[in-house]
Amino acid sequence: MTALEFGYKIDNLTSSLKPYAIKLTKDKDEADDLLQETIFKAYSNRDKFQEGTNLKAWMYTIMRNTFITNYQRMIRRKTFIDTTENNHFINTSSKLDNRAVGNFALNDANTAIDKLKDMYKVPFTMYFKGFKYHEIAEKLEIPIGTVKNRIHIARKELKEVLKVYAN
Amino acid sequence: MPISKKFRSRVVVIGAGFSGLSCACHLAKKGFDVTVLEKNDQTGGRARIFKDQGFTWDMGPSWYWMPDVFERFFNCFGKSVSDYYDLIRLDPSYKVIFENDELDIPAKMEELEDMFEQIEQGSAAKLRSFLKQAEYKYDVGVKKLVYKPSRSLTEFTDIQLLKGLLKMDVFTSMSKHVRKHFKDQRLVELVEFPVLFLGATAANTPALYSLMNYADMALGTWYPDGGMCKIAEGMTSLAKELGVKFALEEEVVSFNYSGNLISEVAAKNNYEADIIVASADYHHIDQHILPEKFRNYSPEYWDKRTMAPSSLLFYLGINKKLPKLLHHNLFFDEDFNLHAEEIYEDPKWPTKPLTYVSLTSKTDKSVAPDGMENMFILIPIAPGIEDSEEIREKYYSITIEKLEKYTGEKIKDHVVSKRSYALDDFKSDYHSFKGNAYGLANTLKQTAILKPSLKNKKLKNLYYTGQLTIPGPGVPPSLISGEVVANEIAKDFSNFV
Repeated sequence: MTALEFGYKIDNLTSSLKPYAIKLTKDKDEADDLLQETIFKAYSNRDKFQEGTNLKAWMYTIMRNTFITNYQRMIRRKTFIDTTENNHFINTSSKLDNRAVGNFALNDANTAIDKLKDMYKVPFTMYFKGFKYHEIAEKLEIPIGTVKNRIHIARKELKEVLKVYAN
Repeated sequence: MPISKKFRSRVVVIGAGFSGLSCACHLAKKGFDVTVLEKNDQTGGRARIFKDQGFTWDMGPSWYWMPDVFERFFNCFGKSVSDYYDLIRLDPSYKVIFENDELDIPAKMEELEDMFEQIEQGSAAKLRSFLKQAEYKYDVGVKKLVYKPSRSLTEFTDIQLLKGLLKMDVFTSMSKHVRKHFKDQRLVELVEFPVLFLGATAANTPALYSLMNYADMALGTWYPDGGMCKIAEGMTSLAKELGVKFALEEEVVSFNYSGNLISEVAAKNNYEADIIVASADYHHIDQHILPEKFRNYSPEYWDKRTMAPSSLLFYLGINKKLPKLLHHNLFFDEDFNLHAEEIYEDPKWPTKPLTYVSLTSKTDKSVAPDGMENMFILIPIAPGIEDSEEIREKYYSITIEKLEKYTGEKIKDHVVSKRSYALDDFKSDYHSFKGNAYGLANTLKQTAILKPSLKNKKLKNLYYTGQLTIPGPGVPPSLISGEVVANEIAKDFSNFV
């Protein structure tokens, strides 16, 4: 297949790819971006396309994979990772959590967390922020069993304080 | 404060007896933040001291056997026994008084063999082979088997150990084993006495425990200069050096829970904790401190346990010297079997008691004023029987009479200080189950995995140590028990719970 033939076939497919892009992104502009990126990737990887196979299916696969990769990147962007040595996450926990002003429940939850003793609060907030048990254990230099138990106790205590919000 | 210090796992150890002290030291070394809570005003548990009018008595244990276990303990922390106290080997080791005869047990093996040979022809060779087997049991038993936590049968599936177990006579009785070697009644009693004092009749004790004879006859009887209290003092100093905190006169009354965890220990003050080690009386914690839903065992289970004996003790100050007595004196002048039966089979006050008398003032000048003796009298009795002042007095008279007859001296009028101690005191001072003095008997049905478990089955962070769990009663086993539990905790909490 020549470059010209390849380009022509892709052009024809574009209209049928659009609905799938909208379905994935649920947003018109993002759908256009996704479509554009898909076509770009298809062109630049033309040599990897095996003749005789289904071009439309190949394009669909590229689009789905592109979407998943972008989505994961977006999720990661929202996660705050502290790479400095000063254990920043410990001292700023309440401020970070307090951004949601006006939400009473969240305020109460933050107050309740703040009232926990450091012994329980620190492992709990770290866990809440996405650290794994073994990462917390390593960071605080305590056995993993203690990490689990302290988080358990923190949860129990919060549950007790915040029980008005149950259901 | 570095982050690692601030967030360390906090362990509360309940009870400052030997197992509690040992466990505290081992945990502190592993980096845990350890606090020991003790009900009484001294550390040492049953090995406390009592002082009156210039006399000092060790209140509990008085035999220092298995010096290697103590040495090993201090070695774990880069220390040695000699950093904390000096040991004196007693020679003769002890005196045994029979109805019409007495034997001073020499410390030297050749002299001991001569003594056996004189009593029963051919017994020196028998003794040699008996002790050779006992040495094997001691080596495997005390150096290997005893450090197993006994949490599941699979620990014993090590093929070397299994082969070992058969060789170790776990399933034959001590009395059969002894009678295979010796016929003379005096020799039989001499060899059987360690198990009698350690918790069961020889008929019900596995012959494994002939390892005690190896400890007795080959490794020797020792005395820490200054008294048995020096051991606990040494361990307490070591613990403090390792950063362990102590709170005396803090009796634990209850726990606060969070789900299936204990979050706080309540005494006079409250102590938050991540891990709890109960070195206090197992039965007391299990049945009186824990609510029913968290108990490991039922009252019926406890009732069926065979407890090691309790004791009737007297601490006497005598204002003269008694040259006929040695440091340790065993009066086997009455029927051995009758007394054993009245402890284990048909629990009641002994009709004709066997008696143990110790005068540490024979070896140690610091424990009695010049020209006087500090006398410690022990009569093993059944646990759970009635205790009263009249009964104690009755046995006091019997014993003093016995001693006056043996020494040919007036003793009664020379007693200047006197205190008795028995079942009710064990209960009020240590919450001891049925007033026991030594914990659980080492019977065939209560060995290794069949002992009460070192871990609470329902609470994730409660452990037990001491003479009611593995490996069993006695000072060296208690040291080992503390270490085994500390290792289990480190393992459990570092792996995923």
